[in-house]
Amino acid sequence: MNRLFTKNKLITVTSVLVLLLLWKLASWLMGSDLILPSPEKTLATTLSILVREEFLATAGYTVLRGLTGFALSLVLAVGLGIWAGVVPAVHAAVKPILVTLRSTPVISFILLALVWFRVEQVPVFIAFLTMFPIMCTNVIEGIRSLDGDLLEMAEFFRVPRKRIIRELYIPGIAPFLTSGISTAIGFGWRAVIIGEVLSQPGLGIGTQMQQAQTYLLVSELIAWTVIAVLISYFFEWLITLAESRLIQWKVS
Amino acid sequence: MKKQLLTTCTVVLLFLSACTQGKRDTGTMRIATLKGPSAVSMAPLIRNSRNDSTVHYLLFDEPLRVRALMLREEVDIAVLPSTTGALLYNRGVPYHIAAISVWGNLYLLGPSGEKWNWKEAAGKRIFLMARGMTPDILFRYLATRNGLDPAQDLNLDYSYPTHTDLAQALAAGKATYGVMAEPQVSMILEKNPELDRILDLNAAWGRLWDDSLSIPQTAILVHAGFAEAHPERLEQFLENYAGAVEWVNTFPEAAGRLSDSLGIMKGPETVARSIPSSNIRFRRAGEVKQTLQDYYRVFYEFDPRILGGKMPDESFIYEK
Repeated sequence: MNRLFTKNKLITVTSVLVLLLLWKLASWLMGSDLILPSPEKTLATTLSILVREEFLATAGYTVLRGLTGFALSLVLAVGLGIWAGVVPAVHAAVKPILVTLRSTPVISFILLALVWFRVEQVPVFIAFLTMFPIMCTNVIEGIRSLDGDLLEMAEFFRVPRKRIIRELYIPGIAPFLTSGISTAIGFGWRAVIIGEVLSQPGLGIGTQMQQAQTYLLVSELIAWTVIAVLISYFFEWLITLAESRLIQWKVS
Repeated sequence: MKKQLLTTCTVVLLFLSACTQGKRDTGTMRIATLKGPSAVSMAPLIRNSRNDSTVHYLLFDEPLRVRALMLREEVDIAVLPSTTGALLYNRGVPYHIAAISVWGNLYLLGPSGEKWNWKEAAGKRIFLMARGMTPDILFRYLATRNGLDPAQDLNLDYSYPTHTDLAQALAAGKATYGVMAEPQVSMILEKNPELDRILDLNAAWGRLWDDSLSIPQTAILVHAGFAEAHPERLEQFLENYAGAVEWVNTFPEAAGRLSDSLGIMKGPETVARSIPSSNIRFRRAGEVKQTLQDYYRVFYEFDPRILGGKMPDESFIYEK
């Protein structure tokens, strides 16, 4: 078990190293910082961005937009999801909308949002539209997977509604919701940044990426990408943490 | 396993070498530009090239497409905003500025009949496309030179991030004041008769400087290697260009029809109407050094990154 673990770790490290080596080789072949800067130059640029005065505000605004979109999606997805999960008629009405939203290209939302909303609202709206259908579908699935016999029994013994919700519904949908959240956040995060690139709000990672591209600062463009990936990793880690806490709580 | 690895490596190397190819020998002269006033200014040249295998014109909608070709040094001549020219030059892409062909096509649109007064600007919501783009920088600069502090005294709105969005808003009457470029200006005025050009940014700009030249907006950029290897071909091209500009200004209707049929711009009447206010004029960069310097200085002071971090040096200007 232990040996397997170290072996897998070794493979991961090698894969990252090979990737960096290929990057280095490619940048050396291109021979121009304007097309592909070397990994070490990109690392230096990343560090220089991190110590910039406006870094926190820039990244903060992007995170805030993402979280706002996320909070909106979560509240609506749980509310509507439970309702649709319990009442089949609601489910029949909501299903086509969710399917449509899930299969609409993100760029269509953005182009429409640019017509409908003010610049600041565009990324939030996009984040909401990409995250909400994924989470809502998962909540509905969670409710529908609940043990019908158990529910019937609880109702037969006149267990109070509050207790049914707390002890049957919430634990039942929790795993579906968390898996929905981790998928949704990955999509939503990328959508926020695309939205920022196209709508150009005053502060934001996407705005900085767009500027870096305009001013031919390719290393800065890649550096902001690295930062975006790191922030995304951080949130994914938070979710896994929350998930394991949830499992512990369920077990106890 | 080994064989697979070998194949992967070969594919990667092939891909990389395909990407690095690009520097080319100049058998035919390749000229890239944008659809719009830049391409209209050379419409007759584009027509003549149709029966000439030694010249090849490439027309694009997106400035980035032209820039990408220049980064790979795949074109001999490019006609692009002069700020892009300085940016590329300062970042080590070997293109020099040979001439200016469009001297500003920017206007402030507002209620027809109104006379623009900077002192009354405060109460008006003025729409500009994307913050930090040329129209935004030039408008704010003009405001500053007229004694205003753009951050405090002006109500600037960037809600429409692209020129198409802003043009639609102005045409539909959703925005009353907006800074736009030709030929969009002519298109908007056709659709919305309640608007008019209430401030000519180009003339206002010219009045700020001794030489009263307007905004040196669009530049003819030449590849250093091409200029060195074929100075006489370049000279011939620049002379033809000057002739084309004269023809376009003398016969705007014919230029409109030609642009339409060549696919440069739709709507022959709109093009014809936009030509007089597009300031299409040909001046060699060497003759307008100070004007270029003044122009670049404004951008440099706004944000040096626009020009690639520094003012372009003397040798940026191509002189035969």
